[in-house]
Amino acid sequence: MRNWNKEILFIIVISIESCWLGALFLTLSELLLKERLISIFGLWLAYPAAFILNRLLHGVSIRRPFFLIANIMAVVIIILVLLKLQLYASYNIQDISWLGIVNTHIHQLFQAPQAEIFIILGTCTFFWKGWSLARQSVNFSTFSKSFQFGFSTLLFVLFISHLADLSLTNLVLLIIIFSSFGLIGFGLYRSSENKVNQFNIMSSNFKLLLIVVVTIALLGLAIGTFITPELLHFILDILKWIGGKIAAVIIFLVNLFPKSSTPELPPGESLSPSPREETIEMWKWFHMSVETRNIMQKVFVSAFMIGIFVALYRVFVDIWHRLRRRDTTGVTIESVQKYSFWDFLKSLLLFFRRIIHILFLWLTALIHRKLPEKSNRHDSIRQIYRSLLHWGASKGFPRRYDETAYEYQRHLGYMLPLSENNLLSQITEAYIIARYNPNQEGEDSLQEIKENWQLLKKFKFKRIHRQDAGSQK
Amino acid sequence: MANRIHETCNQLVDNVTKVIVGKENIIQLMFVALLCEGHVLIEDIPGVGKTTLAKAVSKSIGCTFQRIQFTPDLLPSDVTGIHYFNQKTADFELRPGPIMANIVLADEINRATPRTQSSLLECMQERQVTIDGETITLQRPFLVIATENPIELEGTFPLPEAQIDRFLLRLKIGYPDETEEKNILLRFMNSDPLESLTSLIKVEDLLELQQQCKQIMIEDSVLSYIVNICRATRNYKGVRLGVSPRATLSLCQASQAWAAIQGRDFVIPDDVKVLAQPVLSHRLINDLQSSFRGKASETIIEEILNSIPVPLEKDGS
Repeated sequence: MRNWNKEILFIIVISIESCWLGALFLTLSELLLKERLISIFGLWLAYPAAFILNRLLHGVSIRRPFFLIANIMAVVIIILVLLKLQLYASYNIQDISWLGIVNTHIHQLFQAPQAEIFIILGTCTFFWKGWSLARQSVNFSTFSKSFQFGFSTLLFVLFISHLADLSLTNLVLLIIIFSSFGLIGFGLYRSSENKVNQFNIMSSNFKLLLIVVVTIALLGLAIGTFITPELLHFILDILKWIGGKIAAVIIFLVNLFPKSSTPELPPGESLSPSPREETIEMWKWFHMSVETRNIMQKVFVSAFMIGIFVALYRVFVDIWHRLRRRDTTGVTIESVQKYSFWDFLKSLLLFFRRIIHILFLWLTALIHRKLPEKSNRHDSIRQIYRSLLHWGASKGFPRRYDETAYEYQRHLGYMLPLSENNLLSQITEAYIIARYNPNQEGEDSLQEIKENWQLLKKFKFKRIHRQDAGSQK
Repeated sequence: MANRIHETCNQLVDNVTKVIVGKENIIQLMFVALLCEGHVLIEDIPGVGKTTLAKAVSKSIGCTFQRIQFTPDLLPSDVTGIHYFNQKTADFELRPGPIMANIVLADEINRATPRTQSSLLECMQERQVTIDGETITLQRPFLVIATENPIELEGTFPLPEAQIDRFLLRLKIGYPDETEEKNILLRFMNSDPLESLTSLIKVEDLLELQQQCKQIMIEDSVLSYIVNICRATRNYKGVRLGVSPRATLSLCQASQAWAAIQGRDFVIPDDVKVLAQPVLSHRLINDLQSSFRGKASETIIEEILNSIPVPLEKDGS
């Protein structure tokens, strides 16, 4: 019986990504485009369009430059269609004067949020997601990463919406859909991992999958009845109150510093603009409007709040583990060291210190970026092999951490015809010499190895069942 | 350098396989022990060709061969030799024991008393014999092939862990398959092919190969890999006693020899994986639980190998 596992997983990943992307753009459009609201569904259409287009292009196997041109043309056409349909529907098809209006609005980018920019960025984002999904092989690792990232993004969007007093109805719906598909994905994974060599969900594990789906649906109905937008607002208000108190403490500490007072001028004289103000006047087109500045303030406050909550979460987890900890002599809770307010502050400071350290390392690397050293032959070969491993993993044949290079060659070689197997063998041999005996020069030239790699990575793996793969061994 | 060792090994294997049917891997491992100046413990049932193998190897390298059949009444002097009084010359003369050979087959070593076992094991470690206060250095190369019968354990004296640790490799020849057994009949039916074996290399050449083997390169990450494997045996659940640093050194040297036999002058993790079982499995002591569950040392080594990451590139995904 045909294995539908991969197709179902594609649908789940597309649905999850659509949910969090849709929530993000929905919130951004409500925040930025109060007067010229646009349809997020229209933007979302770029996602399946990009996915289907790239799947077709992969099937046809065209050369890379034409591939890129086709994608660029597709995204430009979709952008133009969406702009026309959503913002300039009143213009005739032959009348292209609306393109001039689009150009004008793009130049006013920093003065006010523009719907045109939003449509362009949104379309590009959705198109890029569809493009990248079409290029990779979806497995449970991909699904898991997508779920985690989407979940974090949805939380962030929820905070922004609450702070901006936006309606949470659509968001709650998207979160429930997101969670449902996430649970289906995890349920599918759990039902299939019982049989290591068989992923056919149409066999005995179908009942398990059916039970999982029904349970999710019932849970969703139960949760949906009592988690209303009002309840969410109430919870978020509590968190906002906590954040307000912390902000008040920070403002109090800042106010302890002396303020600079402006000198009083004699009557009739005015303060000449300082050179700094003249500079600002020159670059006035960078000047943000009050509305944009308020939005940016809310974004930063939200990021700060999320940082607080992550720190609180870690602190509570730590407290929980301390309470649960038992040594071999059966120590009771009373003997565990009590967690004080100073320990909480210490954890919080440590958390922020880590964030600052990571930012510092990143900035240092950015500023003091070293010129890439001229890579020698061995480094090039190792880089090629790293690319080979990544390519194998993306095709669904990752190297196990306990596999040697020769073992992986045998593992991957079962899926390749003879000519590609020879290419793989040559690359592996060259890599082994480069990796384990750098003093020795291999027999093949670097150019030859590069050409072999270019030939090898063009190979298209056919879908075969694991039973067929086992019989090939 | 490695090519020469590779060619010599191939010649040796081709030569010995005229006598021993279908055990090329075992013959290569014997050559590893020769190159590393180690000793071999063969744990196998009677009649699978242990003595024939030892004789064939010694004939191929032009070395002297002696066989000692260990019994409970064997004395240490039966192994090392004695000074006896020669009435004709009226002086004490040395009668060297069978240990004074290049290749010594110690058959059923677990049948001898611990006292006799220790006399052999002292020679293995020190490569010298002390007889009545006189120290005699044993000739090189010196290889002891000890055998144990895993079936009849009544009345035997199992080798203690400290002594087993001195053996570089533990091998199991095993039964031949149907085709191989038929070939044995065809070969040994009318004549003994062992008599027609010729020497391929000289002792001096072998000594030179031993020195060359030590020059085989091991990259730092492969060394770390070897150390990680050996350290993992000490903390593994189900193991009462892990391997010693001597085992780590043995694995390193054996990997060098194996790499040379394959024609490479550098070691790769595949070499370490091939040799981990023969070098380490006999040095582990399982705890009671894993013994009751029938978990063999070989299984534990395999599990450890599957849990240690191989030093290789990451795919960056």
